[in-house]
Amino acid sequence: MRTVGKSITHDSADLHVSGTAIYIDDMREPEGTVHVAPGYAKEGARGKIILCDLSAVRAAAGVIAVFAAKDIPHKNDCSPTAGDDPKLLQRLRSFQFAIQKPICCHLMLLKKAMLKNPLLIKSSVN
Amino acid sequence: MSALTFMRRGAVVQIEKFAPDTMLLDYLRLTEKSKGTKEGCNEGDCGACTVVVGTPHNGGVRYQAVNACILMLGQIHGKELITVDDLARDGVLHPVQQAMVDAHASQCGFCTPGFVMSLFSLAHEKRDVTRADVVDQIAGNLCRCTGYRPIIDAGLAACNAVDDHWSRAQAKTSKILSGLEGDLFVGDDTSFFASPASAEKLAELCAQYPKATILSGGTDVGLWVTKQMRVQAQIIYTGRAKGFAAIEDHGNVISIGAGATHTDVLEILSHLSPDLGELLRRFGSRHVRASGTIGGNIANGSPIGDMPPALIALGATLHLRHGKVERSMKLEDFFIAYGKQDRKAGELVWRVDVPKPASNQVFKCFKISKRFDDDISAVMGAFLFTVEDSKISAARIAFGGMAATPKRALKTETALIGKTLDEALSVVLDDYAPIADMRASAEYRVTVGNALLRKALMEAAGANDVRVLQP
Repeated sequence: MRTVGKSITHDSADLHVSGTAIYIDDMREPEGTVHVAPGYAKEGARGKIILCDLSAVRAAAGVIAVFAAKDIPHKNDCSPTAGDDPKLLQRLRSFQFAIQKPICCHLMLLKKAMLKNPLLIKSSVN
Repeated sequence: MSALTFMRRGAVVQIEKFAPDTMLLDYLRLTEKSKGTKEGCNEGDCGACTVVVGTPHNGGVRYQAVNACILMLGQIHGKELITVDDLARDGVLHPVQQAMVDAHASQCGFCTPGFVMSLFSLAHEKRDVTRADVVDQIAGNLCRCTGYRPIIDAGLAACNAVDDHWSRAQAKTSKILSGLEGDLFVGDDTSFFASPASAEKLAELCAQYPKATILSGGTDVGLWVTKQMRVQAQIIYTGRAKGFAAIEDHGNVISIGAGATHTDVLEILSHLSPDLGELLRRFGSRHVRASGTIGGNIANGSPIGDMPPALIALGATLHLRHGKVERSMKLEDFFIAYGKQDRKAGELVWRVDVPKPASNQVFKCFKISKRFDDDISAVMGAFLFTVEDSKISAARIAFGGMAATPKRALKTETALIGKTLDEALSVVLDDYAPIADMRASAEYRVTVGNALLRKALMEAAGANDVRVLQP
C-alpha cells in the first residue's frame, strides 16, 4: 500500500496554515442570498408561550418572510428517533440544563443588512 | 492626528473615516477582504480571529496575539498589524506554518490561522520555549478536531530563536511606529474615536464627553458591539495614554495605573503572591490578558471579574479622576449593586494601590471554573489572614460569583478573629446567598465557598496545595 505506515501531510495543510483555505463564510455570497435568523422569547427558557406577536417583525424593512410553528406543513420535529425536538415552538418547552437559553419561537428570512438590527418582538412566556 | 494610522505589510496605512465602533475583524474581512483571519465565537473566547499587534518597545517591537473580533479598529493606531495572510513570503511558509504542517497539526483547518498567529507571537516573545509556555500561549485558541498534542509539538519545534522578516525589521518598524505618537481624534463631536496620548488629555476628554464610552482593552466593551448590537457613537480609548498604565513599586504598596494590562502586572503581582500569579495566569487567555486592563476589570463592575475580590482582600485603595479632580475610596465601596458602581459620568478609574501582605499576613486566592483555562469563574475566593501569637487577629475575605457584586464576607471575617488557624476550620461561610446560573448551581457555590475557606486556612497553616478536603 502506498499510504499505510507513512506520514502523509494533509492535502489542505498548506492552505490551512496560510489562511487561504476557503470556507463558506469566506465566499462572496451570490447576489440575492437571503439569511435566516432565529427569533427568541427572551423572557424564559421554560413555560408556555401565551403571546407571540410577530406583526412588527413582518412589517420591518428587509424582512422577507417569518415562519412560526403553524407554518410548518409537515411534522414539527427534527429529532432523529424520539420525536422530542420541535423545530419551532408553539406552546410548551422546558430545557433541563440550559437555564438561560431562550425559547425559539419563529424563524425570519432576512436581507443581510437586517442581521445587525435588533427587532422588537412582542412575546410573553409564563 | 485626525486619521487612523498603522503599519501593515511594511507600509503605513491611513484611514480618515470609519464608524467609531468598527471591529478590527470586520475591517479585515469585509473592508480589506483579507479572509485568512476567521470569525468563530465573536466574543474573544475561541481565538480563530487571532492576529498579532506590534507595539514599539525598548527600541524593538513587542508582538502580542490578540482577538481581532473584540478589538476595535481604532485600537491599532500607532501599531503594526500582522495577520495570517502575511506570513508566507515568496511562496515559502513561515517556520511556524511549516512546523504546523510537519506536525499534522490541522484537520478541518478553521482554527489553524489563529493557532499560527498565536505561536507566531510566542516565537517573537520568547526563546527556548517550554511545553508550559506553548500550552499557556494557546489556552486562548480552541481546537475541536485535531487535538492539541500535534499543535504543541509544532509550537515546540518552531518557537525557538525565530529569525524572520519581522525580527530583522524590528528596528525599522519601531522607528516608524515611534513617529506615530500624539493625540488621535477621528470624527466629529457626535461620532468619534479618540485616542489621547497622555493621561492628562484622557481625563480632560472623558470630562468633556461624559456620554462617551471609555474603552480600555475592549474585552468587555467589544461584546457590547458584537453580541448586544449596541452602537457606540463616541469612543475614548485609554490604551495610548502615557502614564495611565504606569506600575510603581513603593516598597509596601504597589501602585497600578488603570490602563495596565493583565500581562503587564503578571510578574509584579506573582511576586506579591504566587496564588495571585496563578490567578492571573488563568485570567482569560494570553490574548485577553494582553488586551484587558486592571482598571477595566474594576470599572465594568462584573460580579465575576477575577481581580476585584483579590484586590479587595488585599485591602486595595481605588483612585478615580474626573477632569483634574481625584478622589479615592476602599475598592469594596466602589461596587454598589449589580451593574452600579460609584463612578460618575466622565470619571475614570485612575489607579489602584495594592498593599503587600506583611510578614504576619498570609494571602490566598483560588479560582473555580468549569474549564481550567480561558474560562469565567463560577466562584473566586480571596483571603488575607493576619496571624498574631498563633491566633487570627484580622481577616479580609472577598468572593466573586457569590453575590451581585464582588463582596466581602464581613460576618465570616468577624467569626474567625481570636481563633487559631486550626480552630477556624469550624467557621462556616455565612455571608452569601448565591444564585444558580449556567456556571454553577447555588448549592455548588455555597459548598465550594466553604471548601475554599477551609483550603485557605489549611494552606495558611502550612499545608501545600490542598486538593481534597475531608468532611
